[in-house]
Amino acid sequence: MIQKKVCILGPTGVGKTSLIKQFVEGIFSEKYKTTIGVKIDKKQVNKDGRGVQLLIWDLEGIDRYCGFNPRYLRGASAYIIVVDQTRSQSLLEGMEILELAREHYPDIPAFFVVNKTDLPTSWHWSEEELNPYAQKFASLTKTSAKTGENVESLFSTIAFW
Amino acid sequence: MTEKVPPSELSDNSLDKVRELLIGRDDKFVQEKLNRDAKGIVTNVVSEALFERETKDGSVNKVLVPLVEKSLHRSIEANSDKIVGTLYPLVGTLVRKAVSSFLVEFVERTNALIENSLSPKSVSWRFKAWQSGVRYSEFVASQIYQYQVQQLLVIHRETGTLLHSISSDPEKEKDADLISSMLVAINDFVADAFGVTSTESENELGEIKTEDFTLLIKIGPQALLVAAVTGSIPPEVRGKLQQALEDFHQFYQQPLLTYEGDNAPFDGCETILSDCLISERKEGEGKKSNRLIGALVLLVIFFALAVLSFMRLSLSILKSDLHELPPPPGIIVTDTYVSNGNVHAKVLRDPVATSIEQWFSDNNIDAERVTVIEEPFVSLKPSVVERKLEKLVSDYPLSESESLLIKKGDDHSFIISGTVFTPTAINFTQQINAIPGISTVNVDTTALNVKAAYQIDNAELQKAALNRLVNKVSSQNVLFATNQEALSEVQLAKLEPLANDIKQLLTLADKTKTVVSIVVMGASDNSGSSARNRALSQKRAENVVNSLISLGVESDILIPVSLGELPLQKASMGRSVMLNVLISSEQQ
Repeated sequence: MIQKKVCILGPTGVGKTSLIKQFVEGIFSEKYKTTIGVKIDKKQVNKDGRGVQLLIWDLEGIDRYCGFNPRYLRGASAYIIVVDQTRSQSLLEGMEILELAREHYPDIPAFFVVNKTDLPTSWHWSEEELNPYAQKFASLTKTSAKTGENVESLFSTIAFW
Repeated sequence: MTEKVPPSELSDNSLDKVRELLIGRDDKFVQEKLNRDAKGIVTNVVSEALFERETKDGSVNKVLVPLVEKSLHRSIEANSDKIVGTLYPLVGTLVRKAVSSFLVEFVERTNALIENSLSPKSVSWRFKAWQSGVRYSEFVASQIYQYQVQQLLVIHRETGTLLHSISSDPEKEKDADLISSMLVAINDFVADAFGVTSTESENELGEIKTEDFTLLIKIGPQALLVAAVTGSIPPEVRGKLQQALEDFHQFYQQPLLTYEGDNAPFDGCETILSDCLISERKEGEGKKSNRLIGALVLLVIFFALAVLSFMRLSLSILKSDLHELPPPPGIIVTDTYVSNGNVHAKVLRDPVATSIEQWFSDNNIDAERVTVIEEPFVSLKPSVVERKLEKLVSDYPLSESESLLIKKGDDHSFIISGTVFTPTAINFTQQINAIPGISTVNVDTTALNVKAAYQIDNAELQKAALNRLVNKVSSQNVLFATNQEALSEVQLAKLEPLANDIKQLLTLADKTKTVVSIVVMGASDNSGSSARNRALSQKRAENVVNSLISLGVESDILIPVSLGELPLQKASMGRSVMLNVLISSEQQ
């Protein structure tokens, strides 16, 4: 069985845990409980007869007061940086995190996820402005943990990257 | 000429002037400004500043601690009620929890202690503990508690993915991969949070302990070996784990280096791991099997005792049966006892009494279980004497013409009747009298008919008697003096028994139908003339014949013959008359 470690990073409150919950359990809860430390989930994805077990490390939200422990990224086959399209600041913070991660582990592919697409886009980034940021990543995915939009495909892509 | 002032001095001066203008002498303006807005400025940044300072060198905390203590002190003094009120609900719960857990532990420990104090095992343990210099409680702990390696995980160090796992209980293997990731995450966390130095290996997890189990973590270059162990682990297990980890790295070096997430190559490490999946159930199973063995031994002993006592009992019963049994006449039981798994009986038995075997079988006593020590004796009991008497009569050797009968009268009297010869009668009577105790019995032998012994009618006997007489008569001779022809008185007297013998011989010859002739031969010595001797011899023979006839012997069988002179060495022997009996059976 092939196992892959995938880390999810991002600023606090962007929907990392919800994304995972949607993916692993198929449920979404409005309640917000901040993650402390790291929480690990597993799920198997199959494609074309091949199976990959994803071990998803859900890291706590990173902000200035809660630093980011790069060690968690060690040995990951990919990491996802999630941002919230209702908060502009989250994009910038996400980029900072990318830089940090790249600094320690430049070889691990990074995936860009813009979450909360079910809510009206209330950040002031346009698509064109988004592009240069997106270029730095392996791919850009727009998801909604609430509706489940693109969640499966995101992880499927990552699993068979 | 004007002195050139160095430009620095000039600038210095002007700079000072500017400074004074801007910020006032001795920084007066700045200070005023600061004083005015001090509070506002500080308010804006106080939290962040504290935070930053704290993160930088932790001095804020150091300063705050005594302050907080003091304020707490004052608060308690001033508002003790409030504080008590706040703490009260907590305290109650805390105390209850603490007490209950303490009690549980205490009870368990007491149980274990009692179990172990009142047994020979505990005594030996105390001794061993004393011997090895270990505290008794520690020794007990090491002896009682079993350990078991429940689960083993081999984890890829980098990714935290599970390479292989093995478990004593397959149920528990379900979330091994999550566990391995979490462990690695915790390890990372610990290394990061407590890392004083920058070297990773010094601050990685070695052991995680809980009430029930311990996670032993052995860290290798590419992989970790994690063992979930219940109980107290002896050092050998740790060594084994270390060895297993090293073996793993050795055998799977290549797959480890080329690891891309596929753990299939590591399936073969099951063998390495299963060696470590050891458990030692110390007194638990031992206790069980000990108990079982103990119970078994007890059972065996009990059973053996039961069997033995049963055997003993049956022997005792047999002995008492024997003891109470009235013996037949002629048997006396002097002693009965049980020894060596057998009943022994000392018995005196008169030879004519019933045999011991007969007596036993008549009374349903198993002769094989009784060892009889028999001694012969003579019983004077009347019934025994009677039996002896009867036996004597029935076994007595008699000839054809003899008979013996015994009849029992009343009151111990016996009447002997029949016909016997005199010698038989004499012998028989002697034997009766020889029976010990015969005096108690009345024996009447008057009816016994005794007849003479020499009335021999038997042909054989007659013939034998005849031959005897023949030989006897044939050896007779009458001696004469020189020239004597008539018989003297002495000689005549001698002829009397001879005549009787001849008469008897003739009777017998008659009975046996034998023809008899007796040749009477006269002879003389060889002194004088032969003719004279011849006539003398004749005269002598005739005289003897005549004397015999006068004594009653038949004349026609006597034949006088003259032998004449006999040239014997001793001459006097010739002067005699000899007899010779000739017989022949009538058939010849």
